[in-house]
Amino acid sequence: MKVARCPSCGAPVEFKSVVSVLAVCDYCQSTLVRRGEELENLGKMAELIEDRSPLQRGAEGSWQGVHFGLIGRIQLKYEQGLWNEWHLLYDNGKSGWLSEAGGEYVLSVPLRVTEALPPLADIALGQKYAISGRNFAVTNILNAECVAGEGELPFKVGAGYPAPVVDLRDEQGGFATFDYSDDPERPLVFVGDSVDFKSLAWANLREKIPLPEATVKARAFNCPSCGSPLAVAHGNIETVGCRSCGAVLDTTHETVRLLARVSAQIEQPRLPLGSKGKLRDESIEVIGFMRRCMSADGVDYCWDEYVCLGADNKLLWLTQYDGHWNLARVLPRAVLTTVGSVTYEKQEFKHFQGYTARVAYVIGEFPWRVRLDETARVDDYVAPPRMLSRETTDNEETWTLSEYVAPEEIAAAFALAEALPKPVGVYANQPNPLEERHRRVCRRFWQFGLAAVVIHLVLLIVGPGGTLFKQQLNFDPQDDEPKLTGEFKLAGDGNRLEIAHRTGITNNWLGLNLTLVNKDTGQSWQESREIARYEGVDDGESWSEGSRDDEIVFGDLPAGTYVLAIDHDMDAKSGRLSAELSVARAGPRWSSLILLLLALAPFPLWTRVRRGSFEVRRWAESDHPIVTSGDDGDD
Amino acid sequence: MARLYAIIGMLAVSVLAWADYRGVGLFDDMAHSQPNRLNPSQRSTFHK
Repeated sequence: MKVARCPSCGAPVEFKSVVSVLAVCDYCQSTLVRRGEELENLGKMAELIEDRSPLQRGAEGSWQGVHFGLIGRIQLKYEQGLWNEWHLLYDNGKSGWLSEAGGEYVLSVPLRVTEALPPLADIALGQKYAISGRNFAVTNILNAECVAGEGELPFKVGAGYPAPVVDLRDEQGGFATFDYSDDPERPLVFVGDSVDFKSLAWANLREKIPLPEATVKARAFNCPSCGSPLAVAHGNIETVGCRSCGAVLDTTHETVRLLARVSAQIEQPRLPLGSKGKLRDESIEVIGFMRRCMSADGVDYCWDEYVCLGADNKLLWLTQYDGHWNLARVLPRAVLTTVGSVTYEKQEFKHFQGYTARVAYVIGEFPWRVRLDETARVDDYVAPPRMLSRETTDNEETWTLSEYVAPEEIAAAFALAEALPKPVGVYANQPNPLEERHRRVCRRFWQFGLAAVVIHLVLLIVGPGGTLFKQQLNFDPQDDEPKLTGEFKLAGDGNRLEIAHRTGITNNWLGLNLTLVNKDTGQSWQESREIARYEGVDDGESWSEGSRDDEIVFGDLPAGTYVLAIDHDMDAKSGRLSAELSVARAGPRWSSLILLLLALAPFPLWTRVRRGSFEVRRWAESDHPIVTSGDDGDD
Repeated sequence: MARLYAIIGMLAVSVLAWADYRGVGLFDDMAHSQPNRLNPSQRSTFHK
């Protein structure tokens, strides 16, 4: 570490990093450039704009096991707002940058690239570049400007210093910046990753030590359009929308300037500005309200967007359309699009609709420059209950992930006294309430089916059913003696006996008179059967009728010793016929199993149809309606 | 509906288990004759 004296006030000025060439004096804000052993004073650095950042110079953290400290920062401003670039010094002597914008944090390091990169003029949104083996896509083209700085910095910079930069992202949360500040033809490249604030193991954050002098104080003023009293209660607010007349005001200067007036009827937000609540483990505060509209077939469809501040100064949105609510946040990564769908976190989102959104009016505080009637092309992709929205302007592409929230949850989160209106119709990413029911019924169907198959197979193998004996029989037209089988026993009451004959007869018939005798009780049961099978060829076409086989079941037989007598009747001209007799205790029937499955199948089919009708209603509002052959009716 | 289906399904599987155990089939060709007593000559035939 090198310590020098400020040539302006004599205060000590530290250079912790060897790469630092510039330092801002903490006492007199002189911008000091290191020239060998001497410090050159470039004049006063502009004061930092208070921005509610939880970070400060001197804060320390750790990334991938390497400790670092924040030794400087520059504040940059572009047309949509303000962001910080914190200069880091790692314990291993390397330096890097922590970008802080809208609650999103990106760690990056300068990278020397061998690939030829395009000049700024040739850059366009969506262009893809491979940098050190990673595939990035251009998501932002910014004409930023440095507005202030503090501490140590590795280059010369001052207020008003232009910083044209291009942001790129990849699908894994990787981040790259092309910095054209020095040369619009050859950019400096910084590559890094989007990081979770809490994962950096912070110490010496701003909350734990006395806040700097320039704390945010509620700034009160009157609307220059209607005279209503207004106030800015948060830092880093660029625009305020008057809740009385809808006038849009620039609050970045001491004197509030009127940017635009609104002719539309202003509706007060259902969630009052300043409302604080806890929604899905996220503490949020509503600071702004925006009404946006789209037009389709000459009709305006409008929805509400509530701008909220979450933990760590993160920007969140609550959106509301026809009673349907979503909690949305901007994604720190690019999303791969294919035709008709996108894939995010291994989940496929289907394209729902594309439209042009327009800002109708705003109320409250906004940390970016809001422009009335500003338009953006929006494409929504849905995978209920989530929705991805790609919003594209001339120089920016942002992806927002929304999650459907029931109105009751919103009302509970903000402890609203009155219930919110019930949702109307089906929203793009509204969870299908019939999906879970269909899933449960399907699960039951397969459980019952599996249970039935197992029961059936077990009883087939170890059940009481099964063949008692088989016997070959020969029938002669000249032989009129009945044929007796051997004795067999049946235990218990209510027995079912299956008697089957398998013959090989063709164009013949065989009559059988069966007498089943219980020798113990002297009871007998008689049945007559006829087996007939005829076949031939007529006019070149073969035909057949009848069957060579026969089965009959004797039911409700008591226990006892049985014998079967078979008397036969056949054509006197027929030759000798043979048959295989099979006597069995009746067992499981495959037909019963199939019947059971058929009886249970209509339920999942019905719930599937019902689920489908909900999806038809959902997609009816999209660019890709589901075409049905008939009216699906209501759910 | 899922609850009703669970009840119906359990009943249906129970009926199947009973039918499989007893060898009952919906499409069985059943003998309808009533049991008779053997006459003396038949008795001698079957009690040889």
